[in-house]
Amino acid sequence: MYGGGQVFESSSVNNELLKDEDPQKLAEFEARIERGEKIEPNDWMPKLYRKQLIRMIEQHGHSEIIGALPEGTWITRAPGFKRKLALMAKVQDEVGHAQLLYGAAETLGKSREQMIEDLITGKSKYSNIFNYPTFTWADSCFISWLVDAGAIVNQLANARGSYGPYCRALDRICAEESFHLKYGHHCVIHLATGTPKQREMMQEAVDRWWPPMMHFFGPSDKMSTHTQILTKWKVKMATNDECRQQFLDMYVPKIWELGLTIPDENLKKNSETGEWEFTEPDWEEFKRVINGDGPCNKERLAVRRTAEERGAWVRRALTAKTKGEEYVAPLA
Amino acid sequence: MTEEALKDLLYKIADDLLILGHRNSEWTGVGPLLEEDIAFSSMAQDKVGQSLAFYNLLHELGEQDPDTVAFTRNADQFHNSQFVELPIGEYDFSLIRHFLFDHADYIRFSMLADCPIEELAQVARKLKGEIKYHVMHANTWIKQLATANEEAHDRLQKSLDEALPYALGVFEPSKFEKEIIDAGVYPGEKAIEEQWKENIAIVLEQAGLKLPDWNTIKPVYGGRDGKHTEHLQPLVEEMSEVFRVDPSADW
Amino acid sequence: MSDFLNSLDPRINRLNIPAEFGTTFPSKENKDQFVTFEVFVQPTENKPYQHEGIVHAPTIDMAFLFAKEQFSRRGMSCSGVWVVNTNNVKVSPITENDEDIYDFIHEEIMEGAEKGNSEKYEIFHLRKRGKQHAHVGNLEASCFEEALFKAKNQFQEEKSVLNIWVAKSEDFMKIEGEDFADIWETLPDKRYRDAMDYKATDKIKKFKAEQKA
Ligand SMILES: [Fe+2]
Ligand SMILES: [Fe+2]
Ligand SMILES: [Fe+2]
Repeated sequence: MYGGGQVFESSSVNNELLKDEDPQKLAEFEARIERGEKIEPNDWMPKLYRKQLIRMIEQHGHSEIIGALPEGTWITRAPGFKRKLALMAKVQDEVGHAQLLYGAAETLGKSREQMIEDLITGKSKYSNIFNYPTFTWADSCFISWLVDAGAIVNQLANARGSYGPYCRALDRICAEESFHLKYGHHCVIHLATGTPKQREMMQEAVDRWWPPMMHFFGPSDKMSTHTQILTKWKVKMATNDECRQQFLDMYVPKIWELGLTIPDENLKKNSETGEWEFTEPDWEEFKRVINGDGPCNKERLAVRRTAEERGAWVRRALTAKTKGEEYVAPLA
Repeated sequence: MTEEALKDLLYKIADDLLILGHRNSEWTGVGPLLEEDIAFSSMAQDKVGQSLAFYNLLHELGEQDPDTVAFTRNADQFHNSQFVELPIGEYDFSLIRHFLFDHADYIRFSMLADCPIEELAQVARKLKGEIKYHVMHANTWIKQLATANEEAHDRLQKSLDEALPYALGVFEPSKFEKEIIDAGVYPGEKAIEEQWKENIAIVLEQAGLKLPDWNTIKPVYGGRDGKHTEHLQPLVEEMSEVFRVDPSADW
Repeated sequence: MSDFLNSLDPRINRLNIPAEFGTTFPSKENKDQFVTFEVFVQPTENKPYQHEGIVHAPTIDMAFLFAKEQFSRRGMSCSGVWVVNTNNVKVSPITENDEDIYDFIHEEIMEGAEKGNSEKYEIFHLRKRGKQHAHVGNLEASCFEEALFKAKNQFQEEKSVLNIWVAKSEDFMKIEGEDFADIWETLPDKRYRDAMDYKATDKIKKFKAEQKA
């Protein structure tokens, strides 16, 4: 699970870092990317590239592990065997995605424990959408289908990026996401075409989740010279607007065909431009929630910290087993 | 052997697996380390999947469909041992329960794999491999953790002491015990229990954990007859909260 | 009630998290950082083992437990998992896509290398950037350098190899073969983990037809 928006604040792309790079090495590096080849961990890379990738992959990893919580809310209440098994497997996958992504970021030189610490101390961010609550079973179905669908748009784009370990992790993740997407759609179809009570639950979930869903891809990105370089290096693969448009194009018709309404009167596809038009999302709220003032920010971090604290004695004991052995970054 | 006796056997196996799988899924997303979160979740899924296989056997014998059976009964209609319904506690307790239960299950499934009722034998043979990994997992964890440091050792020892009376409850003999043994379905609960005591003793010794004198432990029975702790009814209500909104709906 | 964080998740409520959970979380001086293990998976018996990723683990036997569920819980089959401590893998330099790393390996690399007893080494190749390392075989050698040099005679391919990993066979934990085949036996039955198991187009069609009527 993962959304754009918070990843590339242009202030964080500091071109100062580029000044003292060896021009010849930089040229070779850029030529490799230009040829469509992947960068591998032992290749030379600019400091700025390394820094931005760590930041992006790490935040993606955090979004997966925190993303396990809103759906995990319903894990002990899933109705029937089929749903019970699927939701357990789905939430497990999200934890697995965090494991894979942290592993990819580790190849760039940041240890996993440091990343986890930065998450629970609030130093690094995760996708905003997981700061919203799942009041009913239908909310969890909305996430499984549509939040994951949004994540897939992002992830498929990033899988075409330039860093080998991240792309490999994403290939594996996207394969699993196709299960999440189908499972989620299956759940929503059953609710939307089910009893009046089920329909009502589903419609309420769509009403609740649509605004955060529109926030998911982040505000329109004004392409500065700062972010241009990330595009050139195939770190940033699509703009927030491109992702949002693609999502709307693929999923709005699928929502409508189930007789569900979307709470935005202005939502329509402009037949001339082919672009979707919609009411501008409330970006003030987006900012507020990112900065910690959302309905579940506090709970999400508290739960993650509690999990860390409750597991601390296990890790403390087991690290005693590895004495004398040095942690080194994974190979690929 | 009467069908009633067979159903009784299948129900207690299925209910144990469902309730423990359900309990263990409470760790998904909040486990002590990422990789273990994933492994423990897989085993919880295996358990729920295994219970489904047994509810399907029951369905073939004329019982209601698995969803109805699992999601509409009340606590006193469940035949699981009290051991599996206890809260997950800290990770030491969950690990010890996993260790004690899966050792018993592995023996049970090995015995049932030779059972003359072919449908049952087939299911047991198939699922044995899954439980083999569970036992590997449990043995490795218990050995590594108990020998890691004093804190971990003491936690595991304490959880073991607390768990044992309940663990013995898994082997509560059923009122059809003799009938089932005579029919050659499997050698019975006492036989599993004896083998189990031998198997866990080997691992616990390697782990440096002490087993008390078995004569000093009083097994906690009653679960097989629908007598449960205060923890089961809330568990059942939670599990079926959505399903019971409309049990006839297609979820 | 107000003393504890009030969650919509009953599991979380049972954790009794204080409502006023400390806003600062102290940085741990000593991180609970395990070592990492590289994981190789064989999907079916006649396919080569392929690198799938890593796990963090305190010991190699636990690394296997973790690797199995993280990297072989899906698919129609699995016939083996190998794990090896990252520290125990020696890595060659990486070449350009059209160059063969073996062309840069000559007898001289063995000069000054400390030789031990002859033992088995496993060799892995990377054939293209972005792909995974695949196992090509093993050979007897008395040190890593010799293993690498011998690999050139034994495993150089027509197409170029970009990068080579070498590790002692005895450093691996290998869970494979008949003794373990049954631990993956129910993989094909885990349909609920597969997108294919969630088809509902009939339900949509029926719904649309009813809407029209
Ligand atoms: Fe996701
Ligand atoms: Fe994910
Ligand atoms: Fe997902």
